[in-house]
Amino acid sequence: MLARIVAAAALAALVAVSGGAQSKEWTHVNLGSEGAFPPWNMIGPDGQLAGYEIDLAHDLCRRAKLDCGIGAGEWTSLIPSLNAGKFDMVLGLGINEARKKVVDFTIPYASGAATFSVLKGGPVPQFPLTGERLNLNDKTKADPVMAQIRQILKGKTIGVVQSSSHEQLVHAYFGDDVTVRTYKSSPERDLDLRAGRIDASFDSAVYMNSILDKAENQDLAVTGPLLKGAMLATEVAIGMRKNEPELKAIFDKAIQEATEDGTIRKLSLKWTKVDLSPSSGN
Amino acid sequence: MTAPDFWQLMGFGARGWGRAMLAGALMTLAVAACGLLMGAVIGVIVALAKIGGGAVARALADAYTTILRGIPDLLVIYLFYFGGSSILTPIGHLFGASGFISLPGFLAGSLAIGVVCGAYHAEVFRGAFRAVSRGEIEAALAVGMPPWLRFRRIIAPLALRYALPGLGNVWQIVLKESALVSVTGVVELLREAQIGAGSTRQPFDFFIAAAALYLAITSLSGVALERVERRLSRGMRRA
Repeated sequence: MLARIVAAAALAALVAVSGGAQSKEWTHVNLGSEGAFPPWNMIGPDGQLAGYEIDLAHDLCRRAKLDCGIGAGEWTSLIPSLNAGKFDMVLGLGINEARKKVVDFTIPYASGAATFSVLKGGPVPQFPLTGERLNLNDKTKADPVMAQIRQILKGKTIGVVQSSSHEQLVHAYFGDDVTVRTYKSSPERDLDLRAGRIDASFDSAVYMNSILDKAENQDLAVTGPLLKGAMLATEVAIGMRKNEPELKAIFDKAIQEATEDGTIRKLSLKWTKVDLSPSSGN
Repeated sequence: MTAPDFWQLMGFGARGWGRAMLAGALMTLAVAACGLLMGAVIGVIVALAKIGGGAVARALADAYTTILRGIPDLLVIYLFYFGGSSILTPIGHLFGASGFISLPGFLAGSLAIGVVCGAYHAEVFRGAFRAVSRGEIEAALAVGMPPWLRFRRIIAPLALRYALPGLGNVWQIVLKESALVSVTGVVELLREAQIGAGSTRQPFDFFIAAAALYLAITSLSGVALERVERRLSRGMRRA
């Protein structure tokens, strides 16, 4: 008898818990950001978050009439924090297949590209198609170019940020011909590139462009096509736990509006000097 | 990196990171000190279990030190922080709470550090208790001291003398371990340096400042430890 009561109570509690998750009324949302990836997101000496994504997140929350808290966490702890429930959404996640298995995405709020950088006059010559957009899904056009880059990089070492889609790309396209070295963050990788410990790096084009005006980076050159498509996570969106349709609907609508009324264009030009509007098509 | 730029960046002006870095250093000290104290309590209990406990207590104590010294500290922190909230949240929901329930990052971090360094403490204390000479304990027994008084007056002060150098090592381990606590969102010295390095793109300045602060903490605690050691060995003959 007792066992049956306990079982019934447990079942009722379970239904209550899962029922609560199904039709949730959102009033407060906790957003997570790395806080150390300018110009997307950064933290000042006063501990305040700033950057393109922070401005945009505040704008989206105003549109959606939501009370939002934005917190910072280490990049590698963001998705665990999301799954544990510390954050409801994580800013700055590039969309790719591997991540789609773990989290759900809003529609993208930025459309970037990825490209290479090398040491000027270093062991690696310049790559073809520098500065031109190239969609990897257009295989007839892209595959010969990538094969050419693979040939140039043969026997060289390339640096990427760990658990990034850039890491997935270099493994998939360059395979055993290159040595891949992974880093916890882009600036750490750039230190090694400048020191000659690696021969090339592969990262987002916004990031590459944002570091070139620093005096210590004058020896670096951005080279090769502006890549998107395949496993590359150039479309940046907000990630959330699986099966939160209400939250996704709220933010999809807000991002759509911000794209259409030019807010995204304005904010991205202000922070990144590049128009990252998702509808820019390329 | 040039010297004036460095001092401006690490200064206390409006754009200076000096205050933030010092706050990070204080947080490192706080996490490490809490972890060390918790570990010391665990360590004494486990050491006593290893020496004087029954077969079950001894087996449990051995399992604890073997496991905790054998797995990465980061894993323990993950287990406490993320594991803790995945257990607490459903329990909280059963009692009508909603949303995310977690151990605060500071608590989860210092608990994890305490549990890990408790294993190191235990081995240090075990060696120290063993080093107390049999004669001293027999003398205490001979004058009729009850067990607790014997522990307080004879065994603990003598054992502490032997344990101190080992405890100094544990403290240094804990200080460096505290850098891992940042995964829980606690902004200690290394995380503050990473935030600053990322946000200003001046990694060298921040990592050098962080290294200097860590060195300052460890060398000051080295001096303090030496003082305490000298004081506790007042009655010993110096070789």
